[in-house]
Amino acid sequence: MTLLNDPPSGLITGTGSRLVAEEPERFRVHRDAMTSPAVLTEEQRRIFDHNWLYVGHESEIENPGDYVRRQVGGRPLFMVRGAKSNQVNVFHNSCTHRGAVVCRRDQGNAKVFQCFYHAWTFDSEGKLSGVPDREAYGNLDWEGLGLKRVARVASYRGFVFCCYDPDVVELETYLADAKDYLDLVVDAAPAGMEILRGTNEYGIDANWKLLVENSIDGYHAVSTHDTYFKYLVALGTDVSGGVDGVGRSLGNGHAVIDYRAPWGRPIAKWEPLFGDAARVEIDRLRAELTERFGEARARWMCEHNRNLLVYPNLIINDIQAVTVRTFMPVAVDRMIVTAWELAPRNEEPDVRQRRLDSFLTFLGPGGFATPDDVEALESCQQGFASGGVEWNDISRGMARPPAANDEAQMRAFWRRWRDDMDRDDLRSMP
Amino acid sequence: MTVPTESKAITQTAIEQFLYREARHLDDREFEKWLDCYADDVVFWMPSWGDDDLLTEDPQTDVSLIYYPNKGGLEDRVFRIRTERSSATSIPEPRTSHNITNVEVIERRGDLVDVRFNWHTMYFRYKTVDPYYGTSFYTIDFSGSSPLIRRKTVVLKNDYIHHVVDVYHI
Repeated sequence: MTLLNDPPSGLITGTGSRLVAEEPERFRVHRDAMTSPAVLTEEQRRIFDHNWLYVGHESEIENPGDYVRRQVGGRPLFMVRGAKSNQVNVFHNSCTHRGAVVCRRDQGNAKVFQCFYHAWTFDSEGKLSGVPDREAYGNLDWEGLGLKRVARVASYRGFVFCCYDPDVVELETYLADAKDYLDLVVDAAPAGMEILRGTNEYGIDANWKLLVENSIDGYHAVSTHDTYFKYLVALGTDVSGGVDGVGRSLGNGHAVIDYRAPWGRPIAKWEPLFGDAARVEIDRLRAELTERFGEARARWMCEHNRNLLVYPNLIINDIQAVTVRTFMPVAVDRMIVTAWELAPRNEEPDVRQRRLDSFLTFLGPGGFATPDDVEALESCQQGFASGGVEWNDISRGMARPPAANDEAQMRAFWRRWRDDMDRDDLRSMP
Repeated sequence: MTVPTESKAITQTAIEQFLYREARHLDDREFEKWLDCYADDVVFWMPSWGDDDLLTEDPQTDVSLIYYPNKGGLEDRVFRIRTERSSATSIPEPRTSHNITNVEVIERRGDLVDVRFNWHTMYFRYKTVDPYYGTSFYTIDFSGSSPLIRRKTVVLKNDYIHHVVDVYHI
């Protein structure tokens, strides 16, 4: 069954091209893309059912039986390390009997997952291991009644993704040049990276794609985050260099801004905020990376900030700290954001402390920057309601090599979005 | 700190009056007077919740919502609010109303008193009311002419946050 033959959904062809208008030096997105519930319905099928989506990080489930529960593409799932296979399993979180969720906590360790409704029990590999009064049934296919695996699951350097479309391209093909930027994050930590305890969860009354744009937007930094820059200046940071770098498309809708900025980086760029004592340690980290990767790559790792979008809804910002952020629409004008902090294992305690300070100062609902971003996004959504103006303009930088404060990286997202929304060969996924 | 041989009376009323005053400075946006309620060495901490539904335990290793090891961080926040250039915290001015209940003395060590209390802040902005509520744990130093907060740990119980959480919400 194709989407076109699926009357209840009411999907239309050519939605992407109707809403994204590209000319040689003009790029516009129709505001219906942010305000139309019909578009959101199409996105669910065309985008979230057919692209690789971030589930979690392998460090969150290190031991057999460790699990985390997640909403991925709007669906409740859980990811568990199998006790026998030691592999990462990702299951639809629904009892194969009558539907109740079988994993009812956000995180933990379990030998079995028992549905509390009728006590059907599944092991960490998804096998149905217990059914009360099994003799009441005839010859059921008990094997086939194990937990349903998500069609595709794969991991790249610790980042676990899944896809509901069994025919999707391999994850590494999908990630395209975004892989290089994931490598930069992971290579900086000789012992690997881990997600730290403590999850930030917040809601924004705005369309989800506005956060895509905002997360890779170098243009807004100086105006929206004025108070943050003032704060840095008050602490003695030289902000005269501003935000300086490039915006790049990485293929398949992925994109990055790669730039130098005034603030410090725990790996490894000192700033006054870190205190003089930290200078030695920062220099040591830098020297180590230079030895391992050479001067040029070490400079890239240490001095450049990288706001990375992995299409459609994963952001990995390697800035004052590394934040991993994913978000899902719950309505055309509302999204839920979940954010974690990623840090090197076995990090020196004072480096870890600086990393946490940097993270908290800038990021999260209690930080100096995120609330102002949220305010901006909500303000855009409110402005859309005014009507009159039909199109957003995303043309910045089309007439020159794109800088980090241009909008080339957003155009990369929107072109892929347009193509996804135009496709008429996509089935709805069970 | 040495325990005075004849310690002065620190009444429930004195403790409550101090908590009300601190909250009033936030509601009235008298942030400089609010800062005066804090000792220079105050540890101000609002932990995050983990996926395991437990609070993070160590601000040195886990992610918090807000953590400052001294008063400097609080001063930075007031500086930011006073610039009136943060659209999330300044314009339009949020209206808050702090409500404090269940004030309970946990321990007294000389002039230092550990208290816990429940709080409920109503926050009005853009014609919407967002509630913030939780329990706070203070260590208050009554040795000087006016009490000073030496430690403040805030447990935000509704941590699915709409938009923003700042010092004036808690």
